[in-house]
Amino acid sequence: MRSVKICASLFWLLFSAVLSREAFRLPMGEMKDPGAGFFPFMVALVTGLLAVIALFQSLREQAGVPAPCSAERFRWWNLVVILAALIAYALTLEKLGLMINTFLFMLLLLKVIEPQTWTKTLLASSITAVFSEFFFNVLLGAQIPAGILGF
Amino acid sequence: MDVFRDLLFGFSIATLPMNLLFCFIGVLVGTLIGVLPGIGPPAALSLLLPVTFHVPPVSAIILLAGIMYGAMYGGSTTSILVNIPGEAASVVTCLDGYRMARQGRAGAALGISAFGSFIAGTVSIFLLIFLAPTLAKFALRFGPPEYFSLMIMGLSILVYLARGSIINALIMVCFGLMLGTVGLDNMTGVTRFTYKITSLMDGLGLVQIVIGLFGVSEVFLNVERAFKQEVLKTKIKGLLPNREEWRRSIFPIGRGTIIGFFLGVIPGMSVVIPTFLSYTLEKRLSKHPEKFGTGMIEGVAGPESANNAASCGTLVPMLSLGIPTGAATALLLGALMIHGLRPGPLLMTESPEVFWGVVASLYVGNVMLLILNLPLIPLWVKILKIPYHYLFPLILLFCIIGSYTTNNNSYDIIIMTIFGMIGYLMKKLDYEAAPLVLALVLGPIMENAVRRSLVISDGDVTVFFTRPISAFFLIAGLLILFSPLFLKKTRVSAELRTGEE
Repeated sequence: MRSVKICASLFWLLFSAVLSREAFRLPMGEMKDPGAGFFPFMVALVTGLLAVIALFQSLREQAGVPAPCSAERFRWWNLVVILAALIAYALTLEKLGLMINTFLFMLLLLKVIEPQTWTKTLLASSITAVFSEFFFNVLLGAQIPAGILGF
Repeated sequence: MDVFRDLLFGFSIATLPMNLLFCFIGVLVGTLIGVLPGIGPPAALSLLLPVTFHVPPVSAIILLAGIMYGAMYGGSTTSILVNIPGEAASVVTCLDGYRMARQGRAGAALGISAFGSFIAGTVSIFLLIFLAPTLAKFALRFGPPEYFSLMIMGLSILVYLARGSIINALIMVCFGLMLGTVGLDNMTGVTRFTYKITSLMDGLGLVQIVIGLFGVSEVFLNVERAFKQEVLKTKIKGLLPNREEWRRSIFPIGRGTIIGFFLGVIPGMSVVIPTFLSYTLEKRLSKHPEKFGTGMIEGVAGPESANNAASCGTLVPMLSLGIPTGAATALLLGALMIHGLRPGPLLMTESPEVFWGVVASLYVGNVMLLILNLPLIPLWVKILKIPYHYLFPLILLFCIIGSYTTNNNSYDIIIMTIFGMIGYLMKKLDYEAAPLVLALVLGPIMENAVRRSLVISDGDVTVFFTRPISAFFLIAGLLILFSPLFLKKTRVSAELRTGEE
C-alpha cells in the first residue's frame, strides 16, 4: 500500500505541474482584476503543495505487513468488458439506435459477466430493449436516436 | 402570521394533481433507490434530472426532493433485512436493526424506522419553515467575500469529516475545483482546458461526473468479485411497534430529530454524520450501553430519525443561501439553475411558488411515505431478491440514458465512463468522492466570489478578514481544517470509521 500511496502522490504532483503550466498560459490578469488563469493556477499550486505533503507522509510511513489477499479471484476482465461495452454503446448509439444498442448491451453483459442461458439472456435483453424504447422515447419523450430502425 | 399564509400558499401548489403525482413518483423512486444497494440519492437524482426538463420547475424540484428524502426511508429496509445499507446514511441502522430482524423483530424495526422518520420529517419541516426565511434575510447582507468564506468553511467541514486522510480529501477538493474551471470563463469568456473539444465548451457536466463516480464505479466494484447475495428468509410480521417499544423510542426519535436537523444545516455535514452522532448519544444515555449492537430499538429509532431530519436540514442552506451541503443538494441546486431559477436569498421573493411549494411538498411526501412504506415492504423485499447479474446491466443502462439525455450527446456517455473508472480507482485508493463533487459545484461560484472580492477591494486580499461575517466563516473554516494538527481527530471521525468497517 505504501508504494501505491507514493505513486498516487507522484501522480498528483505531475498533475499539478501540468495544470499550473496550462493555467499559466491563460490570461493571469493582476491582483485587482484577476484573469481567467488566476484561479486554476492557484488551485494547481495548492494541489502541488498537498501532493508534496502526501508524498512525505507516504515516505515516512513504515512498510507494514501486506494486506492479506482476498480468497476470491479478482475478475479484471469483467471491468474490461463493461468499459468496452459502455464505450461501444456511446459510439454506436447514433447509428444503431436505442433499441438495438440496448439489446446488444444487455446480451453482452448477461452472457459474459455471469453467463446465463441463451433463453434467459435473449428474453431479458429483448424485454429491456422494448421497454426502454417505450419508457424513455414514447412515455418520457427523451428523443434518444432510433437509429436504423428509424421509428 | 406571514409564514403560515406562505405555507398555505405552498400547500395550494403542492396539492395540485400534477405536483402530487410528481411527489408520489419522487418518493417511490427514492425509496426504491434507497432499497437498492449501490445506487444512492446523488446517482438517482442525476438519472432523473433530464426527465424533469420538460416539466414546470416546481414539479421538477418536488420530484427531485422526493427522491432525496424517499431514499432515507428506503435505505433502512436493506440495513434491517439483509444487513446491507441501501445508502451511507443507513450504515448505522445495520448494527441493531439487522440484529432485531435476526431475532424475529424485523417488523418492529421497520415500523419504528418508518414512524421515526415521519415524526422527524414533520418536525424538521416546521424548523425549516422558520429557519430558512430568517437565514435568507440575513444572507442579503452577504457580499462576494462572505460567500467565498462560507464556501471555504463548508468545504473545510466536509474535508475534516472525510473518512480517510485529510490530505487526500483536500486533493479531491482541488481536483473538483479544477474540473469546475473547464469550459468558458464566465467573467471574461476565455475558454479553459477545452483543447478544441466543442463538447467541453460548456464545461464538464455535473450529471455525467456524479453518475460515473457514484453509479458506474459501484458496479465496477461489485463485478470484480463473484456476486454474493444474501436472501432474507425471516417472515416480516407486526409492523406496528408495541407500547414498550414506543416508550423506549420516543426520546431517541426526539433527540435524533434535533441532532439531524441542526447538523444537516451546516454545509459539509451531509446526512451521514448525524446518524452516527445520534447512535453514539443513545448508547451513552442508555442504562444498558453494552446491549447496543444486539438489537436495541433505540439504536434504530435515533439514527433513522436523524437521517430524515438531516435530509430536511440540508435544504435550508440550499434554498436560502444557494449553497449545497453535499452531492445530493448540489444536484438539486443544479436542477434549480437548469430550470432558470436563481437559488439564494432571493429565491423566496422571486419564485415563492417554488420555495413554498417544495417546502409543503416535503410534508405531503412524508405522509405519502408513511402510507406507502409499510405496505410496500414485501415488494421491496422481492426487489432485493432480483439477482445482481440482472440488476447491474439495468443500473448501467439507466446511467447511460441519464448521461445521454442531459445534452443528447453521446460524448457524455464517454465522460461518464471515464469518471466511472476514476471513481473506481478513487474507492480503491481511499479517496472520497463527496469533497470532489461539492468542490465541482461550488468551484465556479467560489471563483466568481474570489475574483469579484479582489476587484471590489482593489486587489487587497485582507478583504476576507476585515469584513466581520467573512472573517468569522474563514477563521472557523481554517480552525476546523487545521485542528487535526493540534488535536487528534474527534470521536465523530473515529465512530465513522468504526461504523463503516
